[in-house]
Amino acid sequence: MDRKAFFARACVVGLLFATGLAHAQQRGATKFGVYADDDGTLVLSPAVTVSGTPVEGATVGASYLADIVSASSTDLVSAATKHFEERRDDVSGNLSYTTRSYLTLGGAFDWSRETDYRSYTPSAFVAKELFDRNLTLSAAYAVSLNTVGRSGDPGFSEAMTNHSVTLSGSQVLSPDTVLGLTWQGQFARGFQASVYRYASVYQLGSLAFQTPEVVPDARDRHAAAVNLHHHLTGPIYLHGDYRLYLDDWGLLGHTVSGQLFYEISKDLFVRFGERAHWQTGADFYARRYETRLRYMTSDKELSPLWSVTTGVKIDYLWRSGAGALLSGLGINAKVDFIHVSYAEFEPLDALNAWVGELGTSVTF
Amino acid sequence: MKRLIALSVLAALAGGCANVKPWQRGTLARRCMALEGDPEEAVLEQHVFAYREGAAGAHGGRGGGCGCN
Repeated sequence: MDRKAFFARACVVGLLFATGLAHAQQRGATKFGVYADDDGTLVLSPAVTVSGTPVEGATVGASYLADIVSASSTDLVSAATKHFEERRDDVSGNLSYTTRSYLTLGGAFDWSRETDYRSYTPSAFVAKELFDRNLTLSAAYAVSLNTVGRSGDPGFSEAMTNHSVTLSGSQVLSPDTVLGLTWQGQFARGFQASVYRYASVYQLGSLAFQTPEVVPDARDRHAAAVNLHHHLTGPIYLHGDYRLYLDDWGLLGHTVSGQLFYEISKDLFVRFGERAHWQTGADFYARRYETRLRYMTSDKELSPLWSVTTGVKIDYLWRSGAGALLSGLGINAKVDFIHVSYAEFEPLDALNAWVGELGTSVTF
Repeated sequence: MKRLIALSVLAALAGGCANVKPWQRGTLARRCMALEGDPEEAVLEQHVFAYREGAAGAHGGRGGGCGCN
């Protein structure tokens, strides 16, 4: 076990122990996600989270998430790898402390491992509530240290580091409306290609040769989002979100989403959601390459595309009165349908996917 | 886009002047109004979209102001 893995596991054990000592406001939650698409990918994602308040103002938490992937998608066929199955383990922990003047300081770490990838991400944030808690400002920084490997090739190892800075603010506009603004910059350096993906070069209308994907080793990404949450009337609440994305690979994206909540009772609500995303392709992406270029990719996520997501969620949270040992018990379920349309990706015109989730929570 | 951002900032500043009092925040404290919703759902959702799209980020904002903690 390497030092990073040992440190990550030691932190989780420590956090779980600290959470176990907590005497108030302990929460445990589970989530089981299923992703299936018509391109041959199936992902099962069980997750468990625990958090607690060991002393007033402090919160500690830990979570575990697994991705169990079975895939034989178009990307893999183009890479001459017909099918693969693998598992990713992701462990994270966090702690924060809020003072009586509503200043919050926090830190977290995330460690994930799969057959050919290791990632370790420490992070820190600060948040301050101002003007009678009408305005919340926060800043966060994370650095993700990644080691990229290649399955079946123990000699292959490349590094990639991603620095992430997030600035955000939320403002209470009225007793019925909250506005949120977020900017995030991500600055990645190092190996960012897929070791399994090949770009095809066509000459005189037929495939001449395939070459391993090559992309720049630096990528600066910026995303800015506006969120508005509003209580419309009676049991009806509306959320609206817009995100602008751009990076120095030439990708520009717009994402709009809206959600309508119907509060059936104090404990139960139904949420209907719609999301639309549109993006241009990276500057070096081409439907067909006719000669070898410095940068070449067959990554459909770097091609021009649009997608729509439609979903519904039902969420029930029972809460007991003050003084009870068990203070809350929740269950929720969600189904999303995603349609992605690729304008310039030859192997695939469109992709349809279903996402299902079932969650539970308990609060002491 | 610039107009949208400018309008949002102006709206935020105007709201700051409104100064909603703690006893007026019953609605803001409801689950349907939370800026940070179901944390487990958010992790899985960002994971799905990060693999299906080239764009990512700006999910990390922190909510506040509900007066519920």
